[in-house]
Amino acid sequence: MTTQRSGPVYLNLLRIRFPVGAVTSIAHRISGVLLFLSLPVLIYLLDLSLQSPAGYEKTMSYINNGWFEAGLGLVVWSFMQHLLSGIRFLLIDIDKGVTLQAARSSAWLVNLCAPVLTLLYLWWIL
Amino acid sequence: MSRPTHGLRDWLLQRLTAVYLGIFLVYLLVHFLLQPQHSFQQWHDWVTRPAMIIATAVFIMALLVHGWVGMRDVVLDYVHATGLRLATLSLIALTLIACGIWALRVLLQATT
Amino acid sequence: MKFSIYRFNPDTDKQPGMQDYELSDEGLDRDMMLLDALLELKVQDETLSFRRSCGEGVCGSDGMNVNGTNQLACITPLFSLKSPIVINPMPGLPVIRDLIVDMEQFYHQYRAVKPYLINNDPEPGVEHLQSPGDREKLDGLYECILCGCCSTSCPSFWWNPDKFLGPAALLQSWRFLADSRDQATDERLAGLDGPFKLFRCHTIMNCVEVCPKGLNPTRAIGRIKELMVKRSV
Repeated sequence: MTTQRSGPVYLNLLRIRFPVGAVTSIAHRISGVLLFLSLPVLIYLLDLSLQSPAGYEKTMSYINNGWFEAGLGLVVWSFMQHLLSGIRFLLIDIDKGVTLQAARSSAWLVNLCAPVLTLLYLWWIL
Repeated sequence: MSRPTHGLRDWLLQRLTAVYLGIFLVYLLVHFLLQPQHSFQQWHDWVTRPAMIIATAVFIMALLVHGWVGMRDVVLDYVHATGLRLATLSLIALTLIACGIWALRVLLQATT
Repeated sequence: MKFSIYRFNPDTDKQPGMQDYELSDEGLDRDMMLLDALLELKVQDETLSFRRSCGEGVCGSDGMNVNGTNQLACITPLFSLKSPIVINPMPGLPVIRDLIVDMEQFYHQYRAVKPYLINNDPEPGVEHLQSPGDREKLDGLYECILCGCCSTSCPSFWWNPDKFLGPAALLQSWRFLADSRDQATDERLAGLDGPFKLFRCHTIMNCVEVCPKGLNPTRAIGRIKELMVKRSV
C-alpha cells in the first residue's frame, strides 16, 4: 500500500493554465448548479402563471422587472451553456469530435454561442 | 443514493435523460420564439393539452434523475468529509424530491 | 532569460517559495531545450532539484508545470516559452523537494488496473500470436511513458487522487482491454465500476491537451464506457 508523504501539494489554480475545454467544462458545471438553484423560482413562476389571469399578469410583470431580468438572463445563459456544452459532451461520448483540435474548436463554439444566443433570445422575447 | 456498483447505470441515466431534456427544452424554446406573447387562456390551454401534460410530467421525472446525478457528481468531487458529504447529498435529494412533487402538483392543479 | 522556480527543502523550509534565476542570453543556444537551461541553472545553484534521465522524451522523468502547463522539460524548446518562465512541480501530488513530486499515488493507480496481459490458456510454444489488425488497435495506447503530465493536469484526479484512477491508468486499462490476447475483460470492467474509479472523468480533456506523446486518454475512457454499455445492455 501507499505511504503518503506529508510534503506540500502544489495546486495554485490561478497559476495553472486552463485550456478552453476546461473552461467549457467548468461552465457546464456552474450553469448546472445555477439551474438546480433556480428550480424553485421557476416552479413558482409556472404555478403563478397558471393559477388565474391575474397570476399570469403578475408573472409577466415579474419577468419585465429590471432586476428580475438580470436573474432571468443568468438562467437563460445557464440553460444555453448547459444545453450546448451538453450536446458537445454527448457527441464526445459517442466518439465524435474527440480529437484535440475538434474538441478545442467545439469548446470555443459553445463558449461563444451561449452568450450570443442568450442575448438574442432575451432581445426577442422581451 | 447510488451503491458503489452503479457507476455505469448512473452515467447512462444521466446521458439518456439529457437527450429527453434537450429535445423538450428546444421545443419550448422554439415555441416561445415563434409565439412570444400569450394571453392567460392561450398559455393555459397550451400547457394543459394532454400530450403536453404527459410530456411535461416525463420532463420533471427526467429532470430529477439528471439533476441528482449531476449534483451528486459535484459533491463527490469537492466535498470529502463523510458527514458533510452525506448531509449535502441528503439536502440535494430532499430539494429535488420536493421540487418534483411541487411541479407535478402545479400540473395537476392546472388541469382541474 | 528569466526564471521563477518553485523551491522547497523539507529539512529547512516550512513553506515552499518561488526563487528567481537568470541566464545571460549570450550563453543560450537557439535550439536549447528547457532541460538544458535547468542544467545550466543547477551549475549556478547545485541545490536546485529536479528529475531527469534520458533527455529526449522517452523516460518520462522530467514532467513539470511550465508557465501553467504540464510538459517534459527535455522536449520543450526554451525559446518557445514566454519569459519569465514560471516552473512549478506537477500539480496535486506531494512535493518531496523543489520540482520532485512523490509519484506513489500515481503508480498505485497504475498498478490497480493490472497493466499486464491476463491469459489463462496453456502457455504457447513460442508466443501469443496477434494479427496485424489486432495489433493496430494498440496504437496510441502502448506509447505511454507514465510521465504523469496527464493525471496531474486532471481536476478530477486533483480532487480524488485516491479514488479516481486518472487518465494515465485508464489509458493503460483500455490498452489491455483492447488487446486481442487478453482474457480478463469482465474482471477488468467490474474493477472499474462505481462512481469513482472511472466515472469521475467528466471529459474535460486536459489530459489530451498536455500529453507529450500526443495520446488521447479521453478517447480511451470513452471506449471503455462503450464496452461497458455493450456488455451490460
